[in-house]
Amino acid sequence: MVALMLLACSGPLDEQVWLSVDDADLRLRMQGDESTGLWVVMLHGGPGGNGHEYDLGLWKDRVEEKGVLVTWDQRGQGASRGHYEGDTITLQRMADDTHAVVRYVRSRAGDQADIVLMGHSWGGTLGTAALVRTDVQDELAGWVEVDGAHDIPRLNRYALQMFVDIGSAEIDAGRNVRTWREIIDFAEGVDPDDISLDEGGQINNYAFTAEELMVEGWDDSVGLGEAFGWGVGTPVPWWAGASSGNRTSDLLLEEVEATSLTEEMHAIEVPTLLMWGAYDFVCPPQLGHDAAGVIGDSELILFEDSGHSPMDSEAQTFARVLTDWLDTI
Amino acid sequence: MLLYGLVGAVHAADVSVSSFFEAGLHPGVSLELTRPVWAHTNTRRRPATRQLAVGGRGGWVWHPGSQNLAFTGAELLYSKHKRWRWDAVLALGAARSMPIGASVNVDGTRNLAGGSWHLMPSVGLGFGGGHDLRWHVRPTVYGLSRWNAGMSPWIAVEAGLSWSL
Repeated sequence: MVALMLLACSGPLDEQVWLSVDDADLRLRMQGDESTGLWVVMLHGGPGGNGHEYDLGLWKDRVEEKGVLVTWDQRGQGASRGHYEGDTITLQRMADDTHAVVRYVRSRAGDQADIVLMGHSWGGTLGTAALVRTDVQDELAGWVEVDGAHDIPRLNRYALQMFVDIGSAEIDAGRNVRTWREIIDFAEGVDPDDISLDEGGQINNYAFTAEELMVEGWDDSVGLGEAFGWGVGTPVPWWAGASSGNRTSDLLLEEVEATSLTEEMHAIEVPTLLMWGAYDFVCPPQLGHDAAGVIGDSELILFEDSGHSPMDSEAQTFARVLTDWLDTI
Repeated sequence: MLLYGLVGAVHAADVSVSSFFEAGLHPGVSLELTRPVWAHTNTRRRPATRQLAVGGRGGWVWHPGSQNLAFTGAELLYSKHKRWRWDAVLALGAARSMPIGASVNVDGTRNLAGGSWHLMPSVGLGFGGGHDLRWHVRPTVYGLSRWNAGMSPWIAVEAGLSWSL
């Protein structure tokens, strides 16, 4: 009787903690239904993003109906804080942080819980690094990579090819000719086997420009009031978050631009869902095809009307595919 | 002909109580106590008083879902008072950030050492009016260091009242 009363009184989990990991306090927010035993740990994009960016949208609501969604701010980003030297910021350090977060979630959720790691964009780089370079797989029931950047050298080459292939077709169709001409001229002027940091940055800029030309649609499940509340509810003002995040991004830039994890992905043994936008010029879908070819237990889903963020541009389909897959865990 | 001179005795101290809205949104309070060390009033038809004061400040701000921040420090305040009052404040002090939510270790145990100390320089430029009871609005930029691997910039708007003792 008492147990039933407690169950009736207990609503969805909404808890925030600060996880101490090697001179950093990482902000974790856990929301959803903890009775199901499913916990999804989200790795945000960037570097320089934050967990709050993923605290809105249909997919989030659906995941929180299935279990608990854990959003967190990575070291040096969002509201996470600490005292450490810049030269300690490395991909391995961030991967170890990811492992630490999952270990904390394990201690919080219990031995029987199923923990799924999910990463978007840079979160795909970080999640892949954690999977192949730490023991985090021992704690995981699955891995979801959404438009991830697990191989930057390949990413840059694929993006250049997409600029030319899709841009040429668009010019032939008479659409946005001037902008595509500019993008193609740039792409044809870059040596794909010797891409500088500046050229990598420019590829990223043009990737977002190209996506704007090809992709429409947004998550219309989010109302204006909800979006406003989300905006003012940010745990760190954007200028403070951007200052810290940009510094972290700069510290990681050289290492990340050379990071190529495709050849190591055969070590991923947990069930894997790969979700990619067909018009993602930022992290081209060929990266997803490469990953699917290397990871043994994997499934690749392409979103034909999406770019870098299918959770926004095809919100309904994205949420359904994700939750259907989580049901198989 | 313009005549300048030191007018009257420097009063003992000024007290200021302000709301302290971090990011213009998150509420807090700031208390300042300053002592004028120099004042000068010209004797033109519409006299203007310039004043330099030193003192200290303390305060607190609450950012829901993020942190409580308590701060204290020394400040140097320059003001010019004619019909309206303009001031500039330079401050240097310390802040204690206390995250909202439990501080935990990887194994799930509570970490009693949650929270962190930071150096907190700030600069504010204010505008106000009044004589015996004065009001002011002062946008303020402050830094927290070390915050991760560098200094983090923050913005607040102070609005409050001050009077002389």
